[in-house]
Amino acid sequence: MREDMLELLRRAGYEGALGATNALSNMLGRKVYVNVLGLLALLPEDIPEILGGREKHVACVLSRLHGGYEGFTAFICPLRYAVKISLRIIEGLPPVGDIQEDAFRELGNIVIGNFISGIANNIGVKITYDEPLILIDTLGAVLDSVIALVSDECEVCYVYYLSFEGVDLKKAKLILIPKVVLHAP
Amino acid sequence: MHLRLMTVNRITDRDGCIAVNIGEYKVGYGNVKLATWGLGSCIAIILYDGGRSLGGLGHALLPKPSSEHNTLNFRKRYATTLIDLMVNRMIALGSEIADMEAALIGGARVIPNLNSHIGERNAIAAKERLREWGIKIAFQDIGGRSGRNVLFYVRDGKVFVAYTLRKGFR
Repeated sequence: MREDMLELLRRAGYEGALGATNALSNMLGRKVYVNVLGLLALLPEDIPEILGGREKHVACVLSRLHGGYEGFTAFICPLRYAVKISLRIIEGLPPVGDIQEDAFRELGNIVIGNFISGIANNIGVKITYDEPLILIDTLGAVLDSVIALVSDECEVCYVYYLSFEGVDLKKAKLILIPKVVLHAP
Repeated sequence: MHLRLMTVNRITDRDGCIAVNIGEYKVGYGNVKLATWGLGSCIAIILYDGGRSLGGLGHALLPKPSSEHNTLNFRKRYATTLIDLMVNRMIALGSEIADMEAALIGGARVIPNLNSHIGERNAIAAKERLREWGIKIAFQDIGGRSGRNVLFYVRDGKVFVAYTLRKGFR
């Protein structure tokens, strides 16, 4: 792990948080703040324990990344927060189909999009990402399955600790699971 | 004593459990409870020698290593090499191949849209390696879409499995 890579990701995180703050405020029609509380570089195996235990039920918005940064990104929060915030987002709408999951997926998509944009700007590469999927299971089951997709190469993952103000979602994590070790230019 | 699968809604007896995380294995005697929580596409491998009250639980992430990753630390990530390590540990503790039986749990397809089939490949690789060792599989509980929690009582060979999938947001 290189110190300058962490510094680039830290700067990218602030840029991503600012973009997510504006986009979520627009979507929800009130002021929402997204803050980066911290950034950790971790071994993939260590992530579930450090994020509160393998058994915790979570909602995860997962997207595959392409281009200058191959791998995955996962926006994860406790399931109870995901339920609360998605209900708030769809307030007043009829509960048709998977509208609640769609609402949470859109929220995750906004956070992921802004952070990936921040990372692309700061590393100086073009990054695209697939339409996000939503997963609901234990943290261990979700992360094992994601890490397994890249683990032959992946030795370090990066975890942004996020906090929110103005919404029912208090805390969440954005995890970057690169297929290869990232290096600064 | 033989390995027995007990499917339950929830695992409640957690006091004194020894947790086995990704890329780890633990082997113990007698009144020992080994557990792995939130198993997704990973596969839990249980080896058991009921006559000696000796058993082990491993948690593998991937099917088999490419050669450059076949170092000790990485070997525990893979089903095939993790089984090798577990078998050797069991033998070192007094067991014999003929007295061992195995169980395989996990290998779920938690991310259905990504066509990776890692769970299935984990199970196939583990079964193949157990066959090469000549260790019979007492039971397997693999596949599906849900994560699993696993608790293994070494003393009597009971293996409790609980599914973890929560349906949607409603």
